[in-house]
Amino acid sequence: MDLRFAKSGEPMSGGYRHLARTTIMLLAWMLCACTRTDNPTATASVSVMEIHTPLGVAMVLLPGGAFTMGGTAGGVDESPRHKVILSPFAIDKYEVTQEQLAKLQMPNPSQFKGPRRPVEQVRWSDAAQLCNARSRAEGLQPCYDEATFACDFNANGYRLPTEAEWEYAARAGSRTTGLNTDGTGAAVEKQLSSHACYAGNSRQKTDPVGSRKPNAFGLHDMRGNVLEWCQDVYDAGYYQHSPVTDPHGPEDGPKRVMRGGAWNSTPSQCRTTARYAEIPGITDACFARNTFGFRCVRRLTPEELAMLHASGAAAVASAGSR
Amino acid sequence: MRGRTGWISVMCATLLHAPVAAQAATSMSESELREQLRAVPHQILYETYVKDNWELFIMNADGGDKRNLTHTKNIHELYPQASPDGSKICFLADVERDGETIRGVHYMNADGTGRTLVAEKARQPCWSPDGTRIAFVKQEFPRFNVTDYVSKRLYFYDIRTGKITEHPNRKIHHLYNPSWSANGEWILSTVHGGMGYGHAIIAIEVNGMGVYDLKITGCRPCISNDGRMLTWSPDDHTINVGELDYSGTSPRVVHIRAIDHHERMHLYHPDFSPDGLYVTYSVGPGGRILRDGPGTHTAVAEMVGVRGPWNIYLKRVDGAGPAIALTKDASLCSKESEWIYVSRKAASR
Repeated sequence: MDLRFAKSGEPMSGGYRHLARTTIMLLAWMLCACTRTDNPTATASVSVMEIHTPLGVAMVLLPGGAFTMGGTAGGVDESPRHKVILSPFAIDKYEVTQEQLAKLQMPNPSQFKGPRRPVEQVRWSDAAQLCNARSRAEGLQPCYDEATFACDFNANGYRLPTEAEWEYAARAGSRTTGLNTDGTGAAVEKQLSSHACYAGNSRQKTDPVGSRKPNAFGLHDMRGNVLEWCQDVYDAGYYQHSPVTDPHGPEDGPKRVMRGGAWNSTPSQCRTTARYAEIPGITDACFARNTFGFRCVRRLTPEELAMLHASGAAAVASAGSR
Repeated sequence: MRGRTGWISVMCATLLHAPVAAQAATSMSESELREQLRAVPHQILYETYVKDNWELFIMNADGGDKRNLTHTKNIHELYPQASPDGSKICFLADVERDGETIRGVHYMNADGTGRTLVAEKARQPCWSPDGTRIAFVKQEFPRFNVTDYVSKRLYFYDIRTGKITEHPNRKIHHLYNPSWSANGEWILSTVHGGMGYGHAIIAIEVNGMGVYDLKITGCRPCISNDGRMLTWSPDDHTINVGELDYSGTSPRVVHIRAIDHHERMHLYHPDFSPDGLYVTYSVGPGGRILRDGPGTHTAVAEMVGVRGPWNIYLKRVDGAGPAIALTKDASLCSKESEWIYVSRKAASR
């Protein structure tokens, strides 16, 4: 099936003509989270779909819907648990790799080199610029104004996931404790070890992406390998007043949210609900951390979604409250 | 995301920059320091963004008599580096060709004449201590990228023959801001995400394969003309100096101290005066510019950017006296200061 990532309503011309020739390989697969055995906590039936972008990046289209965000057993900034409703979005199946940067002729700041290893030592601003570079390379509208780093959520290009999108993707339908949230102990560590590169099993560096099992949505390394930059400005009290539908985070603030775990994280730090915040490094020349990476998301246009659904590849169904 | 009020406060902060270190050391007043600087024969090169173009300027040690050395409205000149005898300046020049930015290393006489191309798609030049060679790196990808560490390998250009030779260590990767030691044996440089390092300041043997971690955090090392001191930025807000110890297998930095620090403003690009008494550096709000934005041909032209005012400050290495601004224009960006040796005889003419 061809899926042309052209701006809705615009005639295809210039870069879009190039894209019109580009076939996105839709390796649509039906996945019912409840049937997966690698995440016994998943209870909701959600159909997701894997797509490949013109650059060959594997993404997973998530249907969105309602889920319960946050936790009560972690940091105070993780509560209250609250209902969030998300629009459908596609998220990278893996953390952005160094070979993706090479394709874009973008500088690779990583300490642990390897084409399939995740990019690290990435500032938030670098990640935003890489999202834009990927958008341009695929003829999409860049989401970020590189002067202000304001994000245009209506643009059809790539951006960093909102914190809510990230947690929804990481939970993969789970609503329980254990691996996904606050659990500790041998059982949790065993699960974590099979799903994440963290302090307990890493070789003091990153793994090639996808070295561990995916979560129930088919996403790899959500809780390990590198921490992942999110779009949101960090606010410890944000959950107390955040909007229910598609929350984007506070308007302004000194730090940006990071989620997930890294190769040197403890099991507790790899909790799905754990929130971290770091200076985005927009203006810093000396900034570098070998645990900071990211993955991209994009909102597909209604036309693109309709084309996907018309293909019969997946019947999008969210399972209500999870 | 920064509002108008925020920028005004940043502009005020850069002009009223009152470093912590300066407040502690007040054995010399600003007027006394400025009077002292009026007697210094050496001058200071720097890059200034003026009328949508980067130019190389020169000024006296006290900030007086500022002059444009390049006057090229279609070419961005950046990153001046003076030869140790003060006779020549190597620098970067960005030109537009077929819609692409081509960054090259050039050198010229100190008066701006005799401009000579060293290499295209190259960056980060520095002089050998005898002034006969220019070390530089080549950019990593054919397409220009503003990021300073996007480089591969290390090369030497001989200004007597025009020949380029490559450093024997072909694993050199992602260097920026190299500085050549006075004894000729070492090049100290920042490395970012290359050669197994995350971010480090390293010492590279000029004639060998040795690479050693100096084990000091930060970036932008600069060796004094006598080779005995090092100045660098340990973070984005501090200027350090230390002494270089060459007694071991590789150089070490000892007796480290901060000579300036500011919580909000960014402090970058330190450089020693030829007599080793002063350090000049850039002070500004940080911030990079955007693709196709001001100061660019097709991409961003300068790592630190042109947002907000950047100015050049001076501080005595011994900490006496305040940090003083040598440039004060809130509408310009003046950065990358580089002292150029001027003999007293030449200065008196």
